[in-house]
Amino acid sequence: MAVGVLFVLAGCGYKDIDKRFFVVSIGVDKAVKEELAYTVILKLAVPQANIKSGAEEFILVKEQTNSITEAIRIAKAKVDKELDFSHAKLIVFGKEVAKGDMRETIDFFTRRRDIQGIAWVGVADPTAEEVLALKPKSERLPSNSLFLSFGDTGTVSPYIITEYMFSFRKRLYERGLDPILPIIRVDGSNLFAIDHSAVFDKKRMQLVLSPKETALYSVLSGRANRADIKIKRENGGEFFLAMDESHTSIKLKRGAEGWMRIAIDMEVEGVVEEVKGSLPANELGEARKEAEETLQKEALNLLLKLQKHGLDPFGIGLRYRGSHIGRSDWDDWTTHYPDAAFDVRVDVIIQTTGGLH
Amino acid sequence: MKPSPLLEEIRWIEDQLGSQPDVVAQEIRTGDIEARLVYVCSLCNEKLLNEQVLRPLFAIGKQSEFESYLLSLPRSIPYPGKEKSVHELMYGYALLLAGSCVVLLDMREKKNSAVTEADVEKVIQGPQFKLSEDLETSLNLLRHRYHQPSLFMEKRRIGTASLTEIALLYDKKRIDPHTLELIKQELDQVQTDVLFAAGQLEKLMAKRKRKLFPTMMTTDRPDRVALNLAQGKAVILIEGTPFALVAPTVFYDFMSTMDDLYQSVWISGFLIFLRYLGLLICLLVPALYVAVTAYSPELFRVQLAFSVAGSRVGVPFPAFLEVLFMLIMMELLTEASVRLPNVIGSTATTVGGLILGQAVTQAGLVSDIMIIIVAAVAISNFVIPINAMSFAVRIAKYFLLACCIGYGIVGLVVGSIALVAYIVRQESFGQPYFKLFFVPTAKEAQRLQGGRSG
Amino acid sequence: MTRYVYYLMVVNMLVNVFAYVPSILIEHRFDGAIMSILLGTLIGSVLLLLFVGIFNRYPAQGLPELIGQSPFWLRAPVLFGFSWIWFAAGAMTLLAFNNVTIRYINPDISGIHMMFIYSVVVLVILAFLGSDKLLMLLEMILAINLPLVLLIMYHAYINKAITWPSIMEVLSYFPDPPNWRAVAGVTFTFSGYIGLLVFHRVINGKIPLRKLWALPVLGLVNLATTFLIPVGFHGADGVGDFTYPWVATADALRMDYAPIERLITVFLVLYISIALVSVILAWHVSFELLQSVFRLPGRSRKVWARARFAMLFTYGTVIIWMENQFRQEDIFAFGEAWLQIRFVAELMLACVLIWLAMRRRAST
Repeated sequence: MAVGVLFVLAGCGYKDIDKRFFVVSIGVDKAVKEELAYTVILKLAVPQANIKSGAEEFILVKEQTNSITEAIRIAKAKVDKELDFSHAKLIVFGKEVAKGDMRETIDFFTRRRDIQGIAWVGVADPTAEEVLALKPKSERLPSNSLFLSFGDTGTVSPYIITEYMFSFRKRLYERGLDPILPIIRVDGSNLFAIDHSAVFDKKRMQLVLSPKETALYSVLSGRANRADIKIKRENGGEFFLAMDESHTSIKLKRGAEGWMRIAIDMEVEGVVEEVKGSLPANELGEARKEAEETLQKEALNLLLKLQKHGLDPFGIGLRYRGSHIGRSDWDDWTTHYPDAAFDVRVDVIIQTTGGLH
Repeated sequence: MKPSPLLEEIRWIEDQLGSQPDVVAQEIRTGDIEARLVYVCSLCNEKLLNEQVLRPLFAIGKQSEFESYLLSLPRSIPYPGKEKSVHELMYGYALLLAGSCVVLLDMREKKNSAVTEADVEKVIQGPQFKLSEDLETSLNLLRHRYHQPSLFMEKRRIGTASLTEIALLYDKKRIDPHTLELIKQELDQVQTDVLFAAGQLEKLMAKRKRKLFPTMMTTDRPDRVALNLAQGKAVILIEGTPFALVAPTVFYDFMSTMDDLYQSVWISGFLIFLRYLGLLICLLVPALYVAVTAYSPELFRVQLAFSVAGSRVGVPFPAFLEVLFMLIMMELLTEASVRLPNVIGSTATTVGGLILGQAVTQAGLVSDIMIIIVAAVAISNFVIPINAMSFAVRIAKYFLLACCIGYGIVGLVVGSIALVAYIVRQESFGQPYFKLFFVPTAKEAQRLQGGRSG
Repeated sequence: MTRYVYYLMVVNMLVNVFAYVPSILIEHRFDGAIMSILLGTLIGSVLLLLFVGIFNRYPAQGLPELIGQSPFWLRAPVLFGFSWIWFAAGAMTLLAFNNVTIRYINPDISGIHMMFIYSVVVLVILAFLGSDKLLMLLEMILAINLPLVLLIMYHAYINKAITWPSIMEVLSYFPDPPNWRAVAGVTFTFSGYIGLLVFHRVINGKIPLRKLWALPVLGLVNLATTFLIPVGFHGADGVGDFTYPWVATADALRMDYAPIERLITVFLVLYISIALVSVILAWHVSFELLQSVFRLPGRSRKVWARARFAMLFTYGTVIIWMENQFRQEDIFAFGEAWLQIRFVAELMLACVLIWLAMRRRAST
């Protein structure tokens, strides 16, 4: 009976899993040719009969076209199986593309039904092709090491900003909350280095944050609550504070004459991890104060830098909008943000100095 | 001497029986008694006949005294007329004419009254023996588990050729009269030549013959029967089979074992959960495999999808044929091991399960994951405690599979709803068959007291 | 048996998470959605109490029985009109979820083909199952789907990607006056009580009015989820661009450790089953009302069976025709127009019911 049903309904989209090519990651670069817009790179996984043996195989399909749709159409003609985008978990934009109009580029990815909203997005430095072509030793499945880096089940690091497609799109459109993406680079030694991040305005990449700033951003925005911070001591030594727990609150205060203060309270609990020079037990109080000062200074620098570029990846502007009734709140914010003052307070608690005094 | 009309009738009866080697027709004379004894010796207990009839006959030797002895004998019933007597003789009664007095004597002997261990529905700790193939023995087992004067019994004979004796049992105080009426109606309309088994009677009683799910339970456990009597259900015992029919029954009865009653709350809860899980795995997994591999590979996480895709590399069939082949192989294996004698049965399972399974993946005809699925389906099917339900589920899974082959995951959802609707539509003698809660009404609550709310 | 009232209400709320109501509310997120939700909840609760209160007085009677003694000129248009309004309720759900099916789950199948399958299944179930059995089916399907609803709600609410300030921003527009279209949409999520028109025949016993308080609360939570969660995921400004905001939201949900990573398929599966059941219920109400218009004493069973078949066949033909005619925008336009017509019609029905109840009281 089942066979009979099948013959009647043959051609209703029945396509076996081994007759599909899974696109695991998509890269978009600027085309080399002047007159074309993009180079689209698709990384296709080749299913392996025995995954345990560890030989991963993939195919890179590269097309230079004016639109992503066109590139995919051409790519389809080149491969022998159906292209399946439902497992495209990573979308990488080349640095040059990121400097162009992102709203336009991302439109294709949100509109298409089979591309995941929870695909991770990143900026590749210098090109997406280089990132997608890399084949790290630990990988059993194509692109899996990047999946693990971004997913919560693998590495957890404050240097890696994880951003989903839907969230990136949200930030491109939400007034008062700016996009931030990780920058993926290929380290010479066959590994990925993901420690910088790129801050966007509503269209294009504007600013690159250093690893230190990225980690601080992660902690301040609540994306990560563990990070290591190097603290230089006045006596010339230095120590590392490993944060276990951190909590940040952002409050907005407005004065009568229209000036604005942004109060940022940060509470950090941490462990001393590595000491260069000496840190005797009786100096723990001083060390704490030094840690607070360092953190306070670094946070303020980051905030001022972002303010100077008119960027707001923390979403302070959105908070302002949310806490003010009426339609004029966004205009208020844009007039006052450039000269708002920051008030950063840091509270450090050192729980232990580790296994040594 | 001119023969009396009674003697004429006896002669007629003897003619009906013919001169079979096991028909005994005998003249006895002692004192002033002139008697004639007719019986079928293969159905009767001759020792008993000897002790209770022949010996007293010779000991008494007087017509009038012997007559009153016969009438007071508990085994004797009055002469019902010649046609009926022929029937009774075929059940193992003996006909005795003594002077002007004719009686039928119950001399039945059954060789199948042994009580053996229950092997269809097993429980770990609980009563270990099943009902007997003999109706009287089964009644004995039940009466000893259910000491209530309100336990009523009605006997009938069904089957124009086999004339099988059945007994309808119910607790007069607990049964819903409407339900009882329905059951009796159904029994009245049964027409058949022979009746040998409980499932057969169920099929004959059903109004709609082509139904997939059983609406009456077949069980051979006396404890389950007694429990069902206490829950206000009716039970039909059939001569010649240890299985009893219970009605009305709902879906949940088929998913329960007697162990649920005997184990502690958490254990039985866990066991019930396991059974429903088994039911779902058995029904859904083959269909889901086809739906996911052929229509919606996005359902799985990427690593898993690649494992499945990898294991299917080189398999020359589409997934649905793979599933169908393996499921049918598994059904054949199950069927083969039921029919074969126990000794050979294990060989069949080893060859079929181990060797074939291993070889078929080695040859690359079927993916490894498929073997896992088929095994999981087979095992979870055996978790369903009542055999009739387990068969129904085995068939229902092909319906869902067909839906998935045509329409993928949408087919699965729509097919499942259709299946649920189909089950919901069933009724068992006026009781809804499939409901989420069986919240007892006040009357039901009183009925169900002491029993589990099934 | 009175618990079935809750199921009727809940299934109606759940099915509206999906297509029309969130789109309308999101469209009006900066002009009156919040107030509309509050006002709509109030109106919906009052209507619920009214309907339950009136039906409670006439045990085991539906609208056809209540209206039975009224003159033909009143009875026929009310029954006939409501029959088609509830046919349209089912039709618009069916159109929307058929659209989603061919767009998101089975893109290779044609809309007509899929609609044919859906409508055949629905009509066959309608033909064979009576009111009592349908309620049991509803209970079963809800019970099976409840874990999925909870799973999705859980993953939606604990998700770190929700920007709560975006939600605050939308909430900060609460002073805006309510909007007619949004109110019409919001009240629809509460109109599960319309099921009573027919299903009250098999619901024996008085429905305790005091225990109904749970429904407005549930409705409010449901509406908040429907409306605010997509805002949290896609931003107050960006959320307006999606055709099906909740499909996009489900696509943003992810489970870390389960073998199933993307919750969107789970969501779609859940939605198909809820929607299918809701269509079956709506059409059953419609079908029974339609039958009661034509039911005359003295018709033979055979004629009646044919009439029933003809009615169901009409349903099937109309829905296939609609699927053939309507494109995605038409479906949404139709849905919105229907929501408003229904709102007015429901208010009118409430008046008719009050009038009937008063007349009955006067006559006794």
